[in-house]
Amino acid sequence: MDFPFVRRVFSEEETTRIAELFTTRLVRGDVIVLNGNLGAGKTFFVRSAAKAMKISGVNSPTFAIVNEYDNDEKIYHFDFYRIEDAVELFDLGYNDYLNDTEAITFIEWGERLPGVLPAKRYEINIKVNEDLSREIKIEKRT
Amino acid sequence: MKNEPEQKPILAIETSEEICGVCLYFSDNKMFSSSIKQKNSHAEKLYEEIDFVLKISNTSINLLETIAVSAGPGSFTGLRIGMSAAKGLAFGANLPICPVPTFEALALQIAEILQDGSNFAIANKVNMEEVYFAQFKVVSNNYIFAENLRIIRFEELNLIDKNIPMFGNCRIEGMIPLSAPNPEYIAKWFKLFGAELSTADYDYLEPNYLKDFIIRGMKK
Repeated sequence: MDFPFVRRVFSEEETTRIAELFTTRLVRGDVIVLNGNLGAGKTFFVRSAAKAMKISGVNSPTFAIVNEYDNDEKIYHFDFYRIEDAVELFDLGYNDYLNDTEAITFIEWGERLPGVLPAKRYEINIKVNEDLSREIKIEKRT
Repeated sequence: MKNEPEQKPILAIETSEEICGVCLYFSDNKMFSSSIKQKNSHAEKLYEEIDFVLKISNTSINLLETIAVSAGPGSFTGLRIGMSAAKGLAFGANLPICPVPTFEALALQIAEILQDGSNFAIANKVNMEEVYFAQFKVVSNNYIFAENLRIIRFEELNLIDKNIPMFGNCRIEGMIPLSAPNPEYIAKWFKLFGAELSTADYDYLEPNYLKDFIIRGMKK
């Protein structure tokens, strides 16, 4: 997989394959930001990526703000949808999560608080087309 | 020869980084210390360690002079665990708390091993792009600030004079991996400088996260 990566997908199976492929490029300490409207498939993408890393049972962290998963790999899964202010995030120990170089961190709705995102990150944008297919764009930012 | 009356011990708590440490400090010649390095275990281990040093020294918490707690900057979660433990114990035993500036306690520790007159720096990660940074000078086994504590960009570390020893957790070439003081230096700092900082009015006492600064600093 080379970046930027752009692909139009027509099924969940295709999205799963892209997520699996994407995980082969990840190393511990990486941060992945996912943007896209409600129902676009952000959580599905994270769930598929996590499954490829032998972590199952990934759910949306919209209400918990952050979920933690630990198996062979450790994953932190944030959702900024309900976050109104960056202070709330720092009150959760956001920097401690990002400073954990042993874990991979996924952040849904990262675009809501662009000021707190690390410059070095993967950015995944999922756009829903009129025919309900998805355009998945993955960029690597440094 | 008449024996000096034994001083009241200080319970020192250091949780600002990966090490969860406590020290029951009577003097430089008598102290009981416990440190555990295990990620994400501070909340679980801290009280066991406190219990351990109290038991092994046969000391009751009511006999303490104060609780000295490492107050940051450092890990948000670690500092919060240390501070809340200190508050709980202080409230129960009717003790004051002294919030000890973490970088200065570490500077005190480092100053004991470096030559008089030499400079050194401490740099600990805030996040992936920023660093807590301060420079010190050793003066008679003590330290003075050469540059006040502030937050700088990670890349600014490259501008620091390479001849100045740098301590911290930034994992850059030449950095000495010492990012938090041993807990006895939290107590020692209190003994030297903390008398006026010690307070029984600790309801609103918070660790020093330099938080507002962090949020402003991260806006792009």
